[in-house]
Amino acid sequence: MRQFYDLLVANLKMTVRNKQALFWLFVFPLILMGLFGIVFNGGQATPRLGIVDRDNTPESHKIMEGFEKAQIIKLYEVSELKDAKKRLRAGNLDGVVVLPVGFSKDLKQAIAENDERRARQMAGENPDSVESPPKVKVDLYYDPSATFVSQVVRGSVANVLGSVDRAVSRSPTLLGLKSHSVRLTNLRYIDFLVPGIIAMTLMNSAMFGLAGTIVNYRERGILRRLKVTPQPLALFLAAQITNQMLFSILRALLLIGAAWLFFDVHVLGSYFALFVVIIIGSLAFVTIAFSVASFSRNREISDTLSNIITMPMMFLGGVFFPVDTAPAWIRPLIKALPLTYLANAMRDVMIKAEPLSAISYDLWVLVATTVVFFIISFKLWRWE
Amino acid sequence: MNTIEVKDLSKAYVDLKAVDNVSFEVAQGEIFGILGPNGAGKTTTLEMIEGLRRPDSGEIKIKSISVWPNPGATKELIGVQLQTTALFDYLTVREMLALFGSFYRRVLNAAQIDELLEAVSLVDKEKARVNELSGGQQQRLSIALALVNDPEVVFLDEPTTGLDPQARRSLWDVIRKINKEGKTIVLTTHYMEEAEVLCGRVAIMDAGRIIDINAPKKLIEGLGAEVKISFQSSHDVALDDLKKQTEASETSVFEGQYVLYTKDVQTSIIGLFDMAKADNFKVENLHISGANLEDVFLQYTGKGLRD
Repeated sequence: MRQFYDLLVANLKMTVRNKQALFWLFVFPLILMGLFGIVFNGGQATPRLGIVDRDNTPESHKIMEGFEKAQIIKLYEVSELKDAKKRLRAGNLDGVVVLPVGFSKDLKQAIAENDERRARQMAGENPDSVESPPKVKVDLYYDPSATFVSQVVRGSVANVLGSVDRAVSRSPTLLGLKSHSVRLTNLRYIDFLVPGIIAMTLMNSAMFGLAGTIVNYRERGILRRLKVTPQPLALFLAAQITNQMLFSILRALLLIGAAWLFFDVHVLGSYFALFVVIIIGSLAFVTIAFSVASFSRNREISDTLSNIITMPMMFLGGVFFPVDTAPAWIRPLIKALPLTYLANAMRDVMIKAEPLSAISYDLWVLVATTVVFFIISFKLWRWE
Repeated sequence: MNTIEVKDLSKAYVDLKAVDNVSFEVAQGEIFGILGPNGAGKTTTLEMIEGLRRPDSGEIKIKSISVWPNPGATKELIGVQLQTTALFDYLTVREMLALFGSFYRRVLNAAQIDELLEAVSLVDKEKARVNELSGGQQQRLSIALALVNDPEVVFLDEPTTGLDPQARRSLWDVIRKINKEGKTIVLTTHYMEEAEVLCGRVAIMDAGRIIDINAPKKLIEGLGAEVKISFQSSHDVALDDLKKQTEASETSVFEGQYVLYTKDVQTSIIGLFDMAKADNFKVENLHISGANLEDVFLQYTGKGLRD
């Protein structure tokens, strides 16, 4: 235990004193997050929504007022649906809301029915009657391929409808969007990005930090020097890995802190689950890194190999862009990338507040990756 | 009792016999040198004794404990400096010593680290990072690292290669000091001067074999010649003629350098210049000196140490 502690402390010292490594470990991911956050978040912070009032009644005007008051969207009143759709296709609008003809009639009827049901409820009839699904539909047109924007638009529209609904009908369930599943109400790009960046840094610090270090130690004869001491290699490597984990956790907290400070990003899930995901994800990439280090004869080879491995994952693993809209032919490749599962698990925990049980599939894939690459690195290991 | 016993040691790489049936013993408290050119098998021999490389055949014992098949048994007994200086960047000299000290059963305290720093003259560098040290200082640190477990035997693989003459001499002092404190030392070198100055006994190695083992002085005396005359010539000189005319006991030529060994310098020199006059060649760069280990090596193998 004393030996492990001494090794770990030495490793921590070496990491902290390596200014270049510190830059890649901490500063670079921060810059990356900041840049992407500003470019993709600042420019389109408020989605542009076209609204077509085909009903033109006091009720529909009230809805319009509700949208006008909403700060989260920029509203454009359009008289003709055809016109609005054209502007949507041209990219001048992110979404179009249509209040259909007969909207006020339907709404009045729904309110009446609702009042009646409530009265019956109060009179003791149907005590366990479930809330009925929204009865009055508002049409929402948006470009489904622009996943992020459409999610924001959907979220914003649902928000506004919800608040108008409460004001107009005193019941939050009468108004509904024709397109359903408005679960990710407040998902912004930065919320999507932060878990992805954390997952990516877990991969990169293992692949470039650890693999490079091991190859460097081998090239410079440090591994052989250790071999002539009674110190078991496993203990030396365990200290390396622990060092790696500690910095991964620290880095994740730093990124989360910065994202909270600058972009108002909140971790919705439990920190324990996040911790578990970081450990399991780190281990998967640590074993991949060891396999690369074992396979590579020198630093050039290990760096090249690390690039070959990390590049596709960075772009296809769902770090910067969602992968669910990728074309079908590339999906098998996406599913073969460990980072896809790590980014997914990280995101589910951080922004969807999923418990560990909900991401167990992702975690098991990462555990399996760890086992496979542990065996590979063990078989390929070389001292010199 | 011998500290190290090596018997019939062999190791082959693909089709090259790197070490070919080598046997020797090293006594307690000795500085034992293995002298030979690059590729002679010195390092491979050392690595097999250190437990880094498994021999194809043969036996190695350190303090009567067999190194193979379980090299772990002897690791606490030995201190090793490898040919490549293997140090961590970003750690200070003192931190390196403490870290390597933690690898062994013996607990290394601060006072003992001070002693080690003293022994290798790095006291004023204890807080310096490893990458701030000069080549000679790194080499001295790497010797100190070989001493952290207070070992019975210290192995030094070409400890002074790549150092300037001054750093080399200061390292020799360090090695002598360690030896005086009772450590047995085994070192390899391709500097004959180093072997002559440091080693009690020297094994001369070439092409995987040990050619001779003896004290440096005895090896030189074994040549049977007290004086060496060397020169270069404007024309090729027939060695047989040269030997006859100068009454030399040995003549040889290597890279245009003619060497002859004689007990009677005057006769030989007069003979040489008579011959030069008669055959019309010019004697250049004439040197007269006592023989050294380089000459022993040349005599045995027909080639220089650094070719």
